[in-house]
Amino acid sequence: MARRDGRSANQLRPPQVELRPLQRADGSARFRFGDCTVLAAVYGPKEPRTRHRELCDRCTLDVVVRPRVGIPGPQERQMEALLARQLEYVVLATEYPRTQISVIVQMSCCDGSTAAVAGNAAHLALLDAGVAMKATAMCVALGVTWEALVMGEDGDLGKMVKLSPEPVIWPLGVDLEASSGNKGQLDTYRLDPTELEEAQCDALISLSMDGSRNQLVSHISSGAPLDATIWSSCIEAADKSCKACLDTAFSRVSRDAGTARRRHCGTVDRRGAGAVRKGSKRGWQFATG
Amino acid sequence: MDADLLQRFNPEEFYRHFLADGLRPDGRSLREPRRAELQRKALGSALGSASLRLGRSSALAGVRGELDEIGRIEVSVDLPPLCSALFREKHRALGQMSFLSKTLTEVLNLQSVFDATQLVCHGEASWVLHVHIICLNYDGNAFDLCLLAAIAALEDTDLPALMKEPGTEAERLAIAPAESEIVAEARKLVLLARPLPVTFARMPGGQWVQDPCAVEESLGASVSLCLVDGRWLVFHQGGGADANRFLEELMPVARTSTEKLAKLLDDP
Repeated sequence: MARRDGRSANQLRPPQVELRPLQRADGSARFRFGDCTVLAAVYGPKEPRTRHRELCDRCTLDVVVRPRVGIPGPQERQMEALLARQLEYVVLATEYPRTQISVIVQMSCCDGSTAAVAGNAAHLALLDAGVAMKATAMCVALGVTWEALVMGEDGDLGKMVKLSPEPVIWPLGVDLEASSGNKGQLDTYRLDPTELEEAQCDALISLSMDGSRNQLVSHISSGAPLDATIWSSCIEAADKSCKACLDTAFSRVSRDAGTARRRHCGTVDRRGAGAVRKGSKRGWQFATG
Repeated sequence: MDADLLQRFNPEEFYRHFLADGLRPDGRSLREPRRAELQRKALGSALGSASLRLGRSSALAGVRGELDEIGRIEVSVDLPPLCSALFREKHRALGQMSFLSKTLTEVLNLQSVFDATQLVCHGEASWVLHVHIICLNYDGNAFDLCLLAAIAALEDTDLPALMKEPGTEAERLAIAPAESEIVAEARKLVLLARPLPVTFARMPGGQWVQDPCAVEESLGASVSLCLVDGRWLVFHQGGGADANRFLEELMPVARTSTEKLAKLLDDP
């Protein structure tokens, strides 16, 4: 089923990553899924602002979410709580005792799946800051439409989607095999919904997966309750799309940062041959170079 | 090492000793929920109210009615610093409070749970039911506590009869509508289906325990499952869980526990 922007049901919008857009922060990242953009900055590990926030064996993780316009309200508080729990799982807090790590998330442009994009931006900003993490988790959002389940089935809702097609990221040219069958059953969920699609969906699930270990970091559903089989197929879908998203986003990041590093670090200082001007003071290296 | 010191400074190790025997420090087995006590009509002034205790946690829910154009239920949850030292900072508590308020509002307004047409009174006016839940003592598992208290309070609600206020077009509440012309009948609120919650927490060894207390919740991921009419809502905030397995493991356990919860709510 074609969506308004031409994607199929299991296609993500192309992810775009920009690392270190902010020079003063310890780490920062801007993440986009299509039009939805979120900027995240990390300050820390640093001394906690107040003494009583200090924990003797681990760091305190502080998350602040700022909306695009206006003052933060209950929705922002909820996203802060959710992000804090996600990041607490991922960050190796025991490596930084008695310190505080602040993560500030700024919504730039909201076009659906904001919680997922915010989670991704926060993870990448932590990576940029060099904070020790035990996993790289990616978040993705799914919209489930209930009407499509009710119509056109034989009344046997137990036989719901067995996820067959692989998620495809469009149009980056990452080719994953898409299987041809089960066209009618694809209507049940939409990966990475835009704001208009979110309004039409009956249930919205935001999932965060740690691809390497096949661990689900968090997921929140809102809207109508769903069958158990649909849950497992949604988790499968998110698993595959998170892995695909991770691969493409990180390969892009390495490629872009590699060129940036060559621009900054590759010039030879006039003072002496062989002396290379250092790039950023943190000297952050990419594995792929 | 002294047991109290071990519990305070290394709770994971403390729990590991107990979990190896399949028990928890308070004597419960892994899948055993705490004892629940429900008391209806806890507040005299509210349209409906209930007080619920789950082990050491307790909450009070009251329902207040207002008239508006669209009938709905609105839930607000309050976790004051009174209930636990964890909520000493308002900032921390706000996240949990807004999550609970928003989630419970959504769950109780679902079409399969509550039929909003029963809130319609004369003409265009409908009831808006504000459910206020205050947690008086927090010992983990706020989701179960608040949702069950809200359901009990709503089932206890009596919508009063309404009459037209003489001389004006507006409708006013009639306290004793003996001789007055009743415009909307008094009626009891009915829920089509009960959303029954079960919460699990993941322990350091990888086992899932049901109905966690505050210490157990802080040790790992917590997942709240809510069964509505045979279908599930899942809220999993943070922490790792083996993606493919945990739902298949937890959903059957949750299904059997919800039967006990239904019995609790059915008791007069």
